Amino acid sequence: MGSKWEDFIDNLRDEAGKLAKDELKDLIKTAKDDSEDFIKEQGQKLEIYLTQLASGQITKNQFEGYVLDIKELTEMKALQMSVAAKASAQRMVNGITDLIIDGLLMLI
Amino acid sequence: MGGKSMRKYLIRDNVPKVILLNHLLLLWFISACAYVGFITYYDPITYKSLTDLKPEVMALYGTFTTDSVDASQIAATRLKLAQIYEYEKGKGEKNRETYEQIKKIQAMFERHVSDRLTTGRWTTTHLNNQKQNIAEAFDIAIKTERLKNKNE
Repeated sequence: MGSKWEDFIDNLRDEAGKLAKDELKDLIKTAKDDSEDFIKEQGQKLEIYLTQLASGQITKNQFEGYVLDIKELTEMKALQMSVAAKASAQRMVNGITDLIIDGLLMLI
Repeated sequence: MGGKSMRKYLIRDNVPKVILLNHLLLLWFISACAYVGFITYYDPITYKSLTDLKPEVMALYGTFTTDSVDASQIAATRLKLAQIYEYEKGKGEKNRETYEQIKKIQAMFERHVSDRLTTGRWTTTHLNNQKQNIAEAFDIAIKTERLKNKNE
């Protein structure tokens, strides 16, 4: 027998077969085990939200809002990673310019 | 001297000069890219704006568990977010990541406020979930600004 949130997903009526239940459960479990702290945290939050939904602590609309929040947070995180990479490259270029072009090469 | 011999001469006898020239061209190219395509430098105004606004939003959300809604406080927060967005957008494409992040904070805030206004006061569980997510959004934007290099 799975956890409360897994049972909740399994017991959802899906006559049209729209929900890939196993894939959804795997997504959450994989995220929770991810080495990247941010992804792990979002996976844990999804688990918490599903458990809250299963126990009636939150509504379906509220759950949907949280999922949109997670989507947006993940997109923000991707933007942060872009800045980190660009800042690193910028430091490299500035170092090359200041220390090598304007410094070392002038002495050679 | 034929072409092949010329190449051998250049390569064998002038290796340091050829390599130096190639490196200088590469460095010039990288510098040109730096001027055109990198990011803005760290801005203490951006950092302070975001760190000041985060607790204001937390305090506002705290009032959403009561029956009354302070529309003027919502409007004031909305205005501050809009001002931050315009300030960041004004820095141009090199600041794209930051103004896109602010836009997402705005979208999240609007969704949360709309939820409060349409569905009524929040439960403690819902408040904690909403606060956690908007706080994290601010934290990501604040940390992003701190990642930028200082213009020294």
